[in-house]
Amino acid sequence: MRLFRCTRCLYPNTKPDIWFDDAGLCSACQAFDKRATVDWAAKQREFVELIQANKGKTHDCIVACSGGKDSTWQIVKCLELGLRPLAVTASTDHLSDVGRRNLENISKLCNHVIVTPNRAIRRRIAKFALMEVGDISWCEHHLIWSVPAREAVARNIPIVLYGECPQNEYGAGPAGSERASKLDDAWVHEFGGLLGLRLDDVADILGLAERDLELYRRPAAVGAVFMGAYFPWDGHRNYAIAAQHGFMPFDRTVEGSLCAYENLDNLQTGLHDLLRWFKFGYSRACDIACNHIRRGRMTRDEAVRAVHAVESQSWDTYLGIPLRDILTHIDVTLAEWRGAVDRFANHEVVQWASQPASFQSFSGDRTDASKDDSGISPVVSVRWPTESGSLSAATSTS
Amino acid sequence: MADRIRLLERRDIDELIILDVSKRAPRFNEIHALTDPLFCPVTVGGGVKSIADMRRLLAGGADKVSLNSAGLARPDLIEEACQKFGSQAVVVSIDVGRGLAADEAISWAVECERRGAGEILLTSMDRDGMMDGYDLEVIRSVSSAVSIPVIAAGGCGSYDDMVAAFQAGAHAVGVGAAFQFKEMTPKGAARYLAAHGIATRI
Repeated sequence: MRLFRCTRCLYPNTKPDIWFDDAGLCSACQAFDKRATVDWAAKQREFVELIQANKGKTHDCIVACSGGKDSTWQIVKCLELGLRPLAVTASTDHLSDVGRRNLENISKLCNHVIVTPNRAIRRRIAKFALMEVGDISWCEHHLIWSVPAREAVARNIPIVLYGECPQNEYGAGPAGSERASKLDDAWVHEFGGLLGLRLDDVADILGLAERDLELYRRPAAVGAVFMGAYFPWDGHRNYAIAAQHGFMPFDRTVEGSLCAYENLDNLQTGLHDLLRWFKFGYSRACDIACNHIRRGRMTRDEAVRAVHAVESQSWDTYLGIPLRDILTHIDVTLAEWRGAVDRFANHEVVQWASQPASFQSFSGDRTDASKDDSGISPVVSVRWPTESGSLSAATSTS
Repeated sequence: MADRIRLLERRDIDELIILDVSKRAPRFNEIHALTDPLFCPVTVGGGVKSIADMRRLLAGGADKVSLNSAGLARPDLIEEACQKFGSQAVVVSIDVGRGLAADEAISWAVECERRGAGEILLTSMDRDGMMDGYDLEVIRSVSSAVSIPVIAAGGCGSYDDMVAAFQAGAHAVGVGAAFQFKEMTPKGAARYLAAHGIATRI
């Protein structure tokens, strides 16, 4: 597979679901360029009309809320527009101190509901998901969709607001896809980070009761919308505004990042991002630098220096907590962690991405390389009835 | 890709079919890396042109090899393969729609059986990935014309689609997109099929 980066930002073609146009511009940059043609004042009016037409009795909408800079900004924006939001938080995997302070701040702005599934079960699932699908945040990826939607149904508040659309902001999937501002089950499965592992698979493999997974199940037909489809998204600006309303950054630049204001609530995020680097060769620092490049706050050269500096360091803490302790929380040893990294790492990609020269490899001369040329794509799995004889017998003896 | 495939096995599928649709020669090392960690039976296909290709794939961990265009171009290859490796290792993949018309598919399936093929992988190309149901008519006509197992593929979007395919005569069902994009699991499918009177390993 040919490895290259976007001609404008630093995203590599190893980033899942990223697409490149013929000039080598990635789908995140393409989506950003489309903003110039949007009438944002009209979009804002459309947003308010949408909420007003679908509001609940005592609250107008739900904001799916981690307590971070973006959800704080969302609540502030809703209040500014005269809306009455209800903040709903699906408890995170492993809450940090600064994350707790910021969650407490939310209830100074509006009503706040926090839903917490059984933590003992959740730790088992987290360990399983880390070891089997290489995703320590699998529970969180489910709960951020299911918990606010369940509250929406229970409280009869029809609309749940999410932040930025990952497709538009981070280029996941074809730019400008019809589905980019709409959330449905198919979207969640395709782009929502669930990695092809279903709740029912987990229930069967770990022997869980229906009750154990109830809060993870997303009710059908809840009107979930990305606010990023109505407001020009900018995490940096969101932080500036959130900070005026009580949001606190970390006391120093976060490990593996370029700022002190992002990904502060969940200690496991550090491990998630580390594993992501080993799988795909791009870091959180790269995400942030790319956002700065697109908005003209960093030149490409400045971004390359910053990202390469972060990506060539190693660290053994996240938000100041030793990674070993964060792993212990889900009953994973350092040796098990290293085993998982080994299994899921793509050494060729990591080696390439670690070299300064990789930042100079643009995709200008590529020929159809946006379609991963590993070629082996369709996978069909088969269910045989037992009557078909030797075939299923072979399965049961294997 | 290897992670995804390992995960499918963990999700308790009965068998796996890996087809390389790039129209190139099989990339033996890559395929071997994918199949090596698996315990379930694996059928490998795509770009298989010769007995030598088949031997390398089988030696590298495939349990069965699927022949498609090479078999159509040279039907003797099916017989040779069955003599060398046994019918149980030879799957003929038939693409209906963009490949063969339905009536051609029936007579070709009959000929494949006569030449010794162990299974037919019957794919409705127009329905592949659409998740709106199998082509039951084609399944019915092909599976009633042969006595070897027919794996129905292309179009599965619900457990009921699977039941319908079995009722139309399929001996097994292939599922691709539905296990990736829908709230459906292999284990859930097995339970559903068993509850609907289709003998299934649970």
